Amino acid sequence: MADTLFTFIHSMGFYHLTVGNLIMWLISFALMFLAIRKGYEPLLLIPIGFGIFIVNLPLTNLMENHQILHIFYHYGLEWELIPPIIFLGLGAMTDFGPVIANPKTLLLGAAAQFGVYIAFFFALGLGFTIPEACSIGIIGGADGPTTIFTTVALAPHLLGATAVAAYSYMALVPVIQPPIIKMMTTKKERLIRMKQLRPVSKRQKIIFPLVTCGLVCLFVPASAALMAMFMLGNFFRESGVVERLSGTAQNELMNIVTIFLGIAVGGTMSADAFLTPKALMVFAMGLVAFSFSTIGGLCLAKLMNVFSKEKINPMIGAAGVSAVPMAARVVQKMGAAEDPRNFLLMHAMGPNVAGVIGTVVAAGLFLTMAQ
Amino acid sequence: MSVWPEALKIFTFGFTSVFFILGALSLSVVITRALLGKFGAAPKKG
Repeated sequence: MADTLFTFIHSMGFYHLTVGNLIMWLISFALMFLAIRKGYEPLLLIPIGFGIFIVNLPLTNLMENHQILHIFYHYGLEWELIPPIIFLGLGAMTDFGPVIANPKTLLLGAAAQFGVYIAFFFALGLGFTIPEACSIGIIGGADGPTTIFTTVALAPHLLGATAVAAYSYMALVPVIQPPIIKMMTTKKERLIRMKQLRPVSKRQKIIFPLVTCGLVCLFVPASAALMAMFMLGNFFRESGVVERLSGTAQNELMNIVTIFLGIAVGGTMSADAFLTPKALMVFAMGLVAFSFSTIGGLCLAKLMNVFSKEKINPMIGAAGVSAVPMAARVVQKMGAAEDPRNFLLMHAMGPNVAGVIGTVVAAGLFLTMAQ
Repeated sequence: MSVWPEALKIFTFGFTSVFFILGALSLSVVITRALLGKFGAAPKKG
């Protein structure tokens, strides 16, 4: 009788709960709280948080071979299927009009990759290997799917930490960026008004995804999976003749893969894998990456003003970190706080979407050189 | 073996390549606009 009782108790998850599991539950509750109460990236943080919770329920073995979370992880992430599909949806949602109207904003998107490389160096200094440092650096691009795509290829054991760091910092853009922008710019610079963007023809918008896809994929073939899908989604949108496909890419399909992505990322965050000094260092490096990316964009914008007759408001450089459209909204809000009649949103959208292209290029280069 | 020479190569080549590629893209936008201006219809608000 006692033996049966002991076996019964032993078969329960309660018996096998560890302090690590409880800590991970707290982390999952914190992410879900931020999503529900504060509205921070709820579409991702809810499934990630729940994924963390269920993977830390002892004896459920949801990440073992052929179990549900492992299936999502294996076919969705290890096969690198989900990030390109998310990019298809992002492309269908993105208007490249501001970039086409003011193409020099593409350079601001490039400058905002500065943090990616700074964090890469910092990570190496902390003892990470080159592939790990690349996966950590790419957090600075503030682009979740690209971070996941790079990490799965280069350092899959860091996936949980890099993905959660990327999405957490993206959600914290309105908190992280304003003090850096204020520190790096003068009041006079923040008051600069920019001329209204010129109109962009439909024909230019249709040609842009084709040219971008061809050019980037020829330069960096390793980025083709993300870039091709990003531009295909945009081509759906701009062609104007496949509204059903465009709608599916940005709504139903995107929603479905977002569920799989979130739960698969959460599934990688078991206590054994996540509660390590390395994971904490990844979070710290993510903040470094994000801050320096903001600084990189601001510095190039200021430099452009030295050589250009037509001044740009340097704050739009900060929007070069992807985080679309949150980073652009931060710039608009800060501009309006200085001068309520200064409308910077569309100007900031240029570097913002250019930042997405820049991050994909940086990721492709990392994959080419570090794999 | 030290990782720093390799890291420096990744930084130098990587960061300049990002600028080069986005610069080329920027140039292609300008060229497309010029070609459409020359051979296409007048731009309409899209």
